[in-house]
Amino acid sequence: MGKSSADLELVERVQRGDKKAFDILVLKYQHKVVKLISRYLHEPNEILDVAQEALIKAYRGLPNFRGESAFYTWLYRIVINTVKNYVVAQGRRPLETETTSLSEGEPLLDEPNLKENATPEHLLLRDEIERTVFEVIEELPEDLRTAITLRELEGLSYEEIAEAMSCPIGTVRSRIFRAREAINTRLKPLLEEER
Amino acid sequence: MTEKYAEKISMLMDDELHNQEAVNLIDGIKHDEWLKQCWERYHLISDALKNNLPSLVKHDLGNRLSAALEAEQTYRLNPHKPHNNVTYLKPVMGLALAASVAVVAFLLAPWESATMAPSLQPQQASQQASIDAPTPQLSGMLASDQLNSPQTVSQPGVQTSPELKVEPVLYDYLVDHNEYTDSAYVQSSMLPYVRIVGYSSNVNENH
Repeated sequence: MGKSSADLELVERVQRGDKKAFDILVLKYQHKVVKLISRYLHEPNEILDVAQEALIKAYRGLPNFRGESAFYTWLYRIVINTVKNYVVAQGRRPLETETTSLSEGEPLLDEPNLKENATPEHLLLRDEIERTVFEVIEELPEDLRTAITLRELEGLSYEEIAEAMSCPIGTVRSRIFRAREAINTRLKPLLEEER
Repeated sequence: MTEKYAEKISMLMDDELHNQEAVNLIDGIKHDEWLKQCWERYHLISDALKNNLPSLVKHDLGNRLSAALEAEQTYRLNPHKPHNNVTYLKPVMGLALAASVAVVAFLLAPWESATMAPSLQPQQASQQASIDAPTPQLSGMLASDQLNSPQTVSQPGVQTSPELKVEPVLYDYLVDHNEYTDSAYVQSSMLPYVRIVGYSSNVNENH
């Protein structure tokens, strides 16, 4: 029995009429989508409006998605086209970064000349989340830290991590989960007080 | 119990969960708020680790989108299955095809032998004749092309019993027939029967 691609399973569910499966995809990619749009727009309401428009376009386009590329690659193109069209429709001059080509799936790094017009509260929360995540990572036992780093930053599969760490796959699975849960436990109070 | 599901969510986001488990868990995420939050937070952690968090972390995009999707049509499509799902079938199909061909060849072999029975007679006749009355000239006839030929029956100097003589009008037919049966056996990876007769060994023994 093979391993399942969560994205493909969710896409197929949407294609079969399961709208709620699309919500799960949105929960997965919402931060990446917002981050991508934030490179072109600064106003939070505009960002969310364009994000919503792009995701609805993606939903409407899903019947034509054949799984020949990764779902995020496909979504990335829709988001970029939507935000560019929005900027043109608003009659604005393109931002400096819009003239540079963005390759598909490129890591969304902050650039110093791109000042996001987020409120201090928004920035504070993001910084606090990032600081907490990296603090917990530093505090983790070495084996857990190595496992989560190889998975999240190096993108290795469980099998590859097991080989690299000379341990069974079940141990890798457990280490990655324990690392995530340790971070999650520390983030909970921070995220719940913001709700 | 919740920890068990949280571990499965961790595996699902890494595409390390097996098919049916993934299907069941996705059903759970759709209907269970705690599982949904777990899914969302693990991805938040992942994005934070990869520097993918936007300044706008707190928003209601999910709720806004759910409401907007209410107005959208629901699809009823037969999803496109990825091609790589069936790649493992290729070698199996190849083996099945090879096995079928082998079975057909095996089943046809006796039938073909039966239909060729008459052609055996000249060969057997010549073999019998050579045992009964060996001659020095016979060794010169043992070239393989001649062994396959019905002409050996009536080579000069070879005694044959009268009932085994072949009418000259049948020579062409027998030659054609032998050529056909040889090529047919070679094509089916089997030795032509005339080589199994052991013509030469019998002759040598008699010498």
